[in-house]
Amino acid sequence: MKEQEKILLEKVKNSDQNAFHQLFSDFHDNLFRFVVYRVQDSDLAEDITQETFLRVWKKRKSLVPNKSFFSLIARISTNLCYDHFRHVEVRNRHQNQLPEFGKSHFDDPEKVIEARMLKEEIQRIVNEKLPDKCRSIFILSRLEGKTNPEIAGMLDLSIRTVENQIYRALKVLKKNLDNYL
Amino acid sequence: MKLDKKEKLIWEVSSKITLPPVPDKERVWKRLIQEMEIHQNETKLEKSQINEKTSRWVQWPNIGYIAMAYGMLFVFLSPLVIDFFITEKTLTKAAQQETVFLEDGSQIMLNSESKILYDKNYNIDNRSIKLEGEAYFIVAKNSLPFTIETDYGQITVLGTSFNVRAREDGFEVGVNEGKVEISNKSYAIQLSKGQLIDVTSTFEAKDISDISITEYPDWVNEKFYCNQTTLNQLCSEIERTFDIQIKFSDPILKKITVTGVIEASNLNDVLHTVSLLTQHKFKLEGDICTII
Repeated sequence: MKEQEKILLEKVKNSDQNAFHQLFSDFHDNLFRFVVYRVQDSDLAEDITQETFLRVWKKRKSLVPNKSFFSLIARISTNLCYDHFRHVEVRNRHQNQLPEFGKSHFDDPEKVIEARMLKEEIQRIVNEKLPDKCRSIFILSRLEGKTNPEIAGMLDLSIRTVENQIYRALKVLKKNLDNYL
Repeated sequence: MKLDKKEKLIWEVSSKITLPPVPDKERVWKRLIQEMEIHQNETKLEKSQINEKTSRWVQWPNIGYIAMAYGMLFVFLSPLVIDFFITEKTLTKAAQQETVFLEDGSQIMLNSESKILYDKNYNIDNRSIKLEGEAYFIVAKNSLPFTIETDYGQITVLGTSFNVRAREDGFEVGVNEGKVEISNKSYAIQLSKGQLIDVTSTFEAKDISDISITEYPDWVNEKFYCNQTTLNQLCSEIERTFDIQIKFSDPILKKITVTGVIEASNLNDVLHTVSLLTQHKFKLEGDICTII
């Protein structure tokens, strides 16, 4: 799996469009689900997914073939989600509305926790409170059903690191879900 | 990995989330290919414009000499070439802002017409950034010191959020959280939360003042904050933010000063407001604005 990805990346780096199409086919669905989990809007997720791949192509010369491709597109798409939220939040602030999703690195004011289904609350905490790498791993595990060794391969990490990150995510979730459990 | 009852419940429920269906891959691919072609044509156009400029100056002698010259040039430049591909660069054009997430969890928000550079060893043996223009930094706490190089001096932090403006018309650094140290060859000062320096070239301890506005910096909050700001400087910011050109019918107008907080999300609103504040007409035609 890893060797295949590395070969494709080498080819894309050399502007091979067929290889890029293959890469796109392999990762599009994963990436879309990863993005829509965060933005909850199909059209927006489709735009962000497309823009992410476009950016990869535009900067194909600086691809590093033995580095995890999923990490790269996770990072680019997170940037794009963040840019979108920042514009939405500035507009909302002018209209005195509370923003839907906060940014995990800023200091957020206390949010009013409405009565929600547990699974939506989990989604909110995963999107707002988990650090980026931890979030990627948790989503690949629970949403995509990937095994720990598979995740380790996709993200260039040790299996032990993947296990630790999942455990850490559960701890954060448990701490934040006290009212629901 | 042993999970207690609560963790088991979370584990179970977390996979039960229902997501909207994935769109048709091939449809998305068709749109993507179109965008790629547009980009390809744009870069070809840029390259041919550059070639036109150079061919006016260069006479092409014997092709053999050319090949040898390029060969030798490549040998000498190849370390630079490799360096270019290993260095990460992000730059913004006029009317563009971008956020960069770095490997250590730090974020850099770039204002228009700005550039940052860092190498592939970022977060391995250094956290060193080169900045031209303006950017807002949110730096994750880390044992490696985070340094920013500008033409005016170097800024060093451990973990904090602050704005750096290093443009041709001045140097400004303002801190929202934490502490930063600003240094050049001869001098070093420290800024803490709520402090700011704003100078035209060199800086000293006496230049430290307090951030007086509630939402700093202005551009992150889509505003222009003006305090006795010259119309010349304000118009430079407007040009950068909206990718337009502003012409003064009389150079004396550049010296008019403006004070106030201007909403910057919409060009027409901005021009309207500045027109009222300065009592002069702003005529916008296409992407050129003339002040009468």
